[in-house]
Amino acid sequence: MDKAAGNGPTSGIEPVSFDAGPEAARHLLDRSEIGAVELPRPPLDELPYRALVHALLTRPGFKLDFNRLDPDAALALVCDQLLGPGAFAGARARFAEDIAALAAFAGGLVGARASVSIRSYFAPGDTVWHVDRVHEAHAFRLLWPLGRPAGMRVTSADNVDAPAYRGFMRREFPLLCHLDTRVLRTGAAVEALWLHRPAQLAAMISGRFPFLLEPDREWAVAPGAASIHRVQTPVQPGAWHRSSWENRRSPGLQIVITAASDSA
Amino acid sequence: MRLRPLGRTGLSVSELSLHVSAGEDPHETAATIALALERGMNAVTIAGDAAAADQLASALAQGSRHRDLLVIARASSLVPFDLPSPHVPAGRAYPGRHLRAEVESLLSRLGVERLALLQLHAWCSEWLGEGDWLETLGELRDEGKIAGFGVSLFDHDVDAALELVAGGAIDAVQLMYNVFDQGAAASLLPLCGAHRVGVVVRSPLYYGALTPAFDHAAFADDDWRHSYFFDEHRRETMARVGRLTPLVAPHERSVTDMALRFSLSHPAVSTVAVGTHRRVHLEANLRALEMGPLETGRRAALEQHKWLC
Repeated sequence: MDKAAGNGPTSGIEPVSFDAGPEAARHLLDRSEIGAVELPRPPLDELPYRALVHALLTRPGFKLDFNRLDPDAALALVCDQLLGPGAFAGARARFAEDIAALAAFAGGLVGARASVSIRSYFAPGDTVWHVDRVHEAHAFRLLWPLGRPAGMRVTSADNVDAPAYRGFMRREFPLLCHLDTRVLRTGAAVEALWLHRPAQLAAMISGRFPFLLEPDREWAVAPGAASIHRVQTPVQPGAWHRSSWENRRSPGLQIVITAASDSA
Repeated sequence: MRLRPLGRTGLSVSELSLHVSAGEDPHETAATIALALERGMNAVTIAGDAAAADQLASALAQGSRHRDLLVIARASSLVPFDLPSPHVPAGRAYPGRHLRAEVESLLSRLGVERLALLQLHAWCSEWLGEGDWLETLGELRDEGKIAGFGVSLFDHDVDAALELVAGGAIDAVQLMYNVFDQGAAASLLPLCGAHRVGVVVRSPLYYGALTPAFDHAAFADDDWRHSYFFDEHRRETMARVGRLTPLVAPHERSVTDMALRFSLSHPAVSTVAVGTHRRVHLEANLRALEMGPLETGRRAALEQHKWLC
């Protein structure tokens, strides 16, 4: 596991080091007003598996849930299919080690095995402010983007007009899901797919949505850094976050690790 | 009033049906239902909760011509949905015992022997293989307590029902279909037509936006539309309604007539449900429907105005 930082300023989101362990991260997350912490990571170009990541990013956008596969087996599945049997075998193993270490870290937040997925396509729905939600009592999500120019944006819950947001999502959520699916399946440009919805497209580009009380009140995770945020559950509030439109052309490779438990 | 087949139920339903909701003046509701029946309408739609059922029961108790009224009800979920939502298993949202209890409660409250249709209030495609809702609704149909069953789709989520309709598991779907949301016309409506699955259209007037009154409507704080049509969406909707005005024919009252006729224009549609609480509005809607489906040219022109799909 590479633990070096090297990503510059944290842009206002509290940092936590990998070495401090999941207990320290959990402590920060439980008392964080915005519900997110930053986990510094080395820049992609300093990682020993950068060539593998760049190679994957040349392929059409994809998404894979690891399910019960360990990272090594899941990456083998992806790499063999997209890059050819046995391609980047050494780099793949190093990459899998780092993913496994981060998954163990995330799992340590709640004392349970974390689930992992990777994806390399731009999901426009992620540019809309939202909280992730699960049924378990305690849950956190670790996001590790590789090769993305912009980090995740976060705002505080009191910056969201809850009834307006509920009305917005009643209308927009199914439309956003449909848009995400079409982008993944066809690779079509978001701008073309939503040509008939210019106001909604403009909001995704600017990040200024009508349910925000103060549109400029947001924090940014440093580009290349990982982050951990609270997931909304029946007993804990979630972190309001969105992806940046700046990632539209370079969505990068995103490692998404979710840990949830009823007992933590 | 023209009738259309209600999917595979064997029933024929009037092109226009009346949506009855709780909280309205029961006398006016009763008078509106009486007028609807007098003009040849034969169907009402309601949510399956007790308040809506009692509103309808109260209205029916004041009339005498409801023997052949078709009641199309939506079964309430045991779990409220707040989008985006994590997956709720069908067995938690719609356990069979809950569906059976709700049907029997509706039959008892309304004093009818059979519901024309029971539709799950919301639908997620993952539910196709989950829970015992399908088995239970099939049993209720076999027992003659419902003539058919189906699902009601989240707004703008029509593709969620494609597999369900193609698989032949249901008799009817309920969905939003209007000038602004024409998404169902791409795949689902043709599929319903091919599989003889009935279609109950809701929100043909987009929650009242496609009416002249929307410009100055003041929604009460406890009306969910108060936050739904928050300022920006309200402004955009009003602007888009304004752009429809040049397409209104001289013999039509307003965009309302055109919008109602549009929703009925697709041959797969069985009935269009409108929440009309005043007789004067019902009279006007009936006059609009007497004009029949919208002409092909205007339907094509309205293609340019869809934006909620």
